[in-house]
Amino acid sequence: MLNNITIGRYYYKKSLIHQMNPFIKVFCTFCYVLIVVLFRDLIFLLLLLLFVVLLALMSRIPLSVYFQAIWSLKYFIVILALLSFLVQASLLDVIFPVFRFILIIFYSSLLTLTTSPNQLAKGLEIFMRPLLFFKVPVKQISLSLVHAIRFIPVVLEMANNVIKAQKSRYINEYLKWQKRIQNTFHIVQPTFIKSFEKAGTISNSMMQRLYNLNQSRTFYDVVKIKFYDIYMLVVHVTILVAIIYRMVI
Amino acid sequence: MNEIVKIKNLLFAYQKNQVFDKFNLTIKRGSWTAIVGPNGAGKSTLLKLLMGEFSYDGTILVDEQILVPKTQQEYFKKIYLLPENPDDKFISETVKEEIAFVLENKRKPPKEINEKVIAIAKELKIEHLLDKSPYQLSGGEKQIVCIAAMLAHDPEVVLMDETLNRIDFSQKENILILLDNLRKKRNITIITVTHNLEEIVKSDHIVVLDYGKIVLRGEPYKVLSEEKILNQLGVEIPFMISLSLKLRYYNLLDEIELDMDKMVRKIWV
Amino acid sequence: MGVKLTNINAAYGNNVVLENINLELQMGKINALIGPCGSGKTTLVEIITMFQKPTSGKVELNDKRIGFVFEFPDQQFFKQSVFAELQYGLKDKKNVKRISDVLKMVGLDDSFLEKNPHHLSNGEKRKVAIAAILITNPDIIIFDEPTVGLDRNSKNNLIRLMKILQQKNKKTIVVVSQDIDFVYDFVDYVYLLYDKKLVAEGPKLKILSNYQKLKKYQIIPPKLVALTNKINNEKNLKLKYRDNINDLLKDMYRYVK
Repeated sequence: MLNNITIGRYYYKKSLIHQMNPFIKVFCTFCYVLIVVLFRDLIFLLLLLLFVVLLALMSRIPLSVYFQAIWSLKYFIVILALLSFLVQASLLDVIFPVFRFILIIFYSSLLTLTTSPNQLAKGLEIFMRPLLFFKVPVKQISLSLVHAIRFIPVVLEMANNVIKAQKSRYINEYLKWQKRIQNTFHIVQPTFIKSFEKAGTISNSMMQRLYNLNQSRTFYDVVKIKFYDIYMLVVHVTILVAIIYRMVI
Repeated sequence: MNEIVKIKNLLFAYQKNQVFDKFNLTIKRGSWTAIVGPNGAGKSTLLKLLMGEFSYDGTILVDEQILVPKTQQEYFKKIYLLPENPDDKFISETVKEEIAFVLENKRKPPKEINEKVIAIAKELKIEHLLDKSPYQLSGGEKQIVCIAAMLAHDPEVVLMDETLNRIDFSQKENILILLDNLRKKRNITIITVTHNLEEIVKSDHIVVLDYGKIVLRGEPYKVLSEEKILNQLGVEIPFMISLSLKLRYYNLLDEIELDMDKMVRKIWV
Repeated sequence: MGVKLTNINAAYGNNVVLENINLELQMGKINALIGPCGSGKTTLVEIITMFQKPTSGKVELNDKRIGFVFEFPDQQFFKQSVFAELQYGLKDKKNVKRISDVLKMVGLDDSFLEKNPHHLSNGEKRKVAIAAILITNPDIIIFDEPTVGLDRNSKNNLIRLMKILQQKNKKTIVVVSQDIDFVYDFVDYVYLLYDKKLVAEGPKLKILSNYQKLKKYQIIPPKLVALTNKINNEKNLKLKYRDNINDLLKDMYRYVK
C-alpha cells in the first residue's frame, strides 16, 4: 500500500527548524546539494549524513518519517544504481551516486516537511529573485513548483484509492501473474484522471475564495530572520566555500 | 436590497437532462432556507450554479451582482460555500494560512491579517489548532476551520451542501448554534441543501424541490406536516412531527410537539 | 465456518487504534457495526477486508469473499462508464446479461450503462457502487455508511435490497453506520465498538434497547427506544421495545383502551 503521505506534506512540530526563515532554508538546501555533488570523499559524505541526521533530530519529526520518504523512492534508487553500474562497471563507483541521491532526498525532505507550501513558495521566490534580471517569470515558477510539491501527496492518495477500488473487485484471484503485473499499470490512467479532476476542484475553490493569478497578493506570515538563521547560513556557506577552495587549490 | 438572492427563468441542462426549466426563486436577506427533496431533484446542482461551476441561461443575482468574468471578484466576495467534504476545500497546510488565504487575496496588510486571524480563532475557540494541518483534524474540527475561513471571507450568503452529514451528533448541534448566532450578529443569509432533520427544523423557510420544480414552500412546521406529498417524494419527515401527526390521528395528542419529554407528559392527558 | 478475528491489535506508529479485538461474524445475518467517531470502526473494517494488516492477531476468512462498498462512491469508481465499471469485476468479460441483471437488482436500467459514474446523482452513484461489488459475487458484503445523503425512498430501497441479498442470495451483510435509527429498523445482530475495544455484541433488541449501556458508550439511543423509555418512566408502564413505530402505537393504544 502506498502509505506515503510524507513526501511533500508539511509536518507540523514546534522546532527551531520549523521556525526558520524559509528563504534561509532554501538557500541552505541549495548549498548542501552543491556540497554533496562537489565532494568525492566517502568519509566526508558520511559526515554529511551525520549532519543531516542531526538536523532531522532537531526538527523533532520522527526519523521514521524521513526514512519513509527515502524508502518510497526505492525504485528510483535501484534504477540509478543499475544505470551507474552499467556506465562505470565498478561496484564501488555505484555507491557514490546512490549515496548522494539519498543525502539530497533526505535534506530536501527536511525542507518540505518543516516548511509549509506557502512559506516555501515565498522562500523560493526570494531565492530566485536574481533571475528576474534575466526576465525569468520567477513568481509563476515558484508557485508552480510549490503546487507540484503539494500535489504529490494528492496524486499518491488518488493512486491509493484506485488500488483499493480495484482490490475490492476481487479479480486478481483468478488471474495469472502476468496479468496481475499488467493490472498494476491499470492504476496509472485512473490516477491521472482523478488527480486532474482534483486539481480542477482545488483551482475552482481558490477562485471562489478570490484568488487571482495575475494579481499581486500580500503575504502575512513574514518570518523574521533571527540569530539561528544567520548561524545556519554561515555554517553552510563556510563549508561550501571551503570545499570549493580545496578543489581549486 | 432585501432580496439577496434572485433566480429568474433559470434554464439548465446536464447530460441530456433538463434539470431546470424556467426556474424562479427569491431568498430574503438574513433568512435560513432549507432546500429539501428527493435524490436527483437538482438541489446540489442549484448550489453549484450559484457558485458558478456551470454556465446557464437565465439570471442569477446575488446582492444585485451577476457573475461575469469582469465582475467575478465582486460576485464571489458575496457568496461562500461550506462543502460536504472539507478536504476538497483546503488549500493550505496550516489552519492559520487557511483562514488568511482570502485576506491575502484581498491584499490586506500583513498586520491586519494577523489580527483578524487571531480574532476569528478566538471567536471560534480554535486558537490551539492554528498551527496544525487541517487535514489531520476530526470531521467537526475541519468544518469549524471552514467556518473560520468563511468568517475571514465575510460573505453575505453562505451555502451549505449536505455539510453536516458526517459529523458527530453533539458537534452538529454546536455548529448549528454557532451558525445561527453568526447569522443574527452579521445578518448573513444561509441556504442549506440537506437531508438532515436537525438542520431543517432550525431553518425559517423550507423549499421542497422535485425534478427542478418547487413543489412546496413555507414555514417548517407547515411544510413538514404535508405528510402525503412528502411521503410520495421520499422526503424524510422529522420523527417528532411524524409521531405527533400519528398520535393526533389516534386522538392521543392535540398538536405537533417537537420535544420528546414534553410530548410524553402531554399524551393521554 | 465464517470470518473470525482473534486478538487483533492495530496501531499507526505510537497511535493505538484497536485493542485486542475478538470477533466472529454472524454468517447469513444482517450485522451492524456501530460506535462513536474514533472508536476504530474504519480500521476494523479495513482489516477484515485485508486492505490493512493488523499489528498483531489473526484474520481467518475461510475462503469467504468479501465485498466492500465504500463510504464515498466516487472513490470506488475508476472507469469512465458504468458498463466498464461493472465489467471490470466480471470473470467472463462477455457476460453482458449479468451486468444488466445486477443493475436491475439495484433499481437502475440499461440506460445507465453508457453514463459516466462520476456524473450521476448521489443516490445513483451509490447504487452503481453497490452493483459493482455485487457483480463479483461476494459471500459477505460490507456497507460503509451507506445512508449518508440518501432520501427516505432510497433508504427503504436499500433496506429492501439488503434483505433480498440476505434471504434470497444467502449473503452475510455488515452495515457500518452512525445512523442508529436506520440500523435499529432492520438488522439482526449488533457489534458495538468503543474506544478501540469491542465492548458489546448481541441481538439487536438486546443491545440497542439497553438505554444505560448506550449512553455509557456515547451512542444516541434509537428514537423509538428513547420514546418507549420515557413513556414507561412517566406513566409507570412496561411497554415492550419495538423496532417499528406502528407496533409501538398499537401497544400504546391498547393501554388507552
